[in-house]
Amino acid sequence: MVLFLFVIMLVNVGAEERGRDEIFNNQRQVTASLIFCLLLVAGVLYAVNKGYGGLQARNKIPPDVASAQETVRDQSLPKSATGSSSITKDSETLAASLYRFASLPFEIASVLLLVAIIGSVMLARTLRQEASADDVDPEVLQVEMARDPDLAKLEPQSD
Amino acid sequence: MLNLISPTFVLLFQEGPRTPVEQMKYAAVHPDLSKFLVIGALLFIIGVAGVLTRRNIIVIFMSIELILNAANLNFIAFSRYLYTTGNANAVAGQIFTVFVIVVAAAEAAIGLGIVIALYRNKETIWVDEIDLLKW
Repeated sequence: MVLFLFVIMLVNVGAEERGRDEIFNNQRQVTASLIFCLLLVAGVLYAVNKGYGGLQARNKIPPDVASAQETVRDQSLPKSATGSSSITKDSETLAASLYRFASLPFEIASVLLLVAIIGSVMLARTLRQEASADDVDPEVLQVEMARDPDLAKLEPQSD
Repeated sequence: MLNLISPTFVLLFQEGPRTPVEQMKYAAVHPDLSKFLVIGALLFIIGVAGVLTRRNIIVIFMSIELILNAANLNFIAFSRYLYTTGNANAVAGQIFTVFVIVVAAAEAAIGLGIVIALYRNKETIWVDEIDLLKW
């Protein structure tokens, strides 16, 4: 969400707020998406009506008994220092199984995040930053230097 | 039509006390699986509608986040359901949610980087004006 805020500040979305531009797509896309959403709603209703009874029938403990047991279990937990909440072992269980059973996906996810960070930094570089790192196509640089003479100062001197 | 959808409402407000108000109060305090699934499906549908209808690419990204969060909600709901029925592997749903959040963060970072690059080159964020890949 913070990322979104940054990009909204970077990109000009004020036009949409002022209401000059169309917010929605063409009539055709809107109609198609409405039909698609209605199909999804129908699917949800059908699935809930059809399948939920069977799911409940598989329960060994009925849901009201299960929730009563949950309440009793919650009350038996130790209170935290402020007394407003109780200390559970849930986060401990989650963390333990995250590192025990999902350690390889965890490492892969960390690499994925690293690649995403590097990629977004690369994508968001300005032309000036690229020129100062000598990372622009010479022909493009010629054209851009004609428009912006300051770019020539940024280019590293070749020996 | 009413015949078709009424079981859903019965499921939404079923267990516990008698009068409708009491039933709603009880259902709010003790939600069971079907409520989470219905909320998740609604989130998904709102997300799909946003992706398909809006022109602003940033709003489309937000809608994609909604879709991912609908999937997360389903994972958590099934995890909770399996936990109350005593399944030992119930925590797998929560672990999967963590990974979905990681992938969503990476997707948002890359996608917004692409938005910045696009805006620099084409001066627009309306998706119907970005037709470089159209044949």
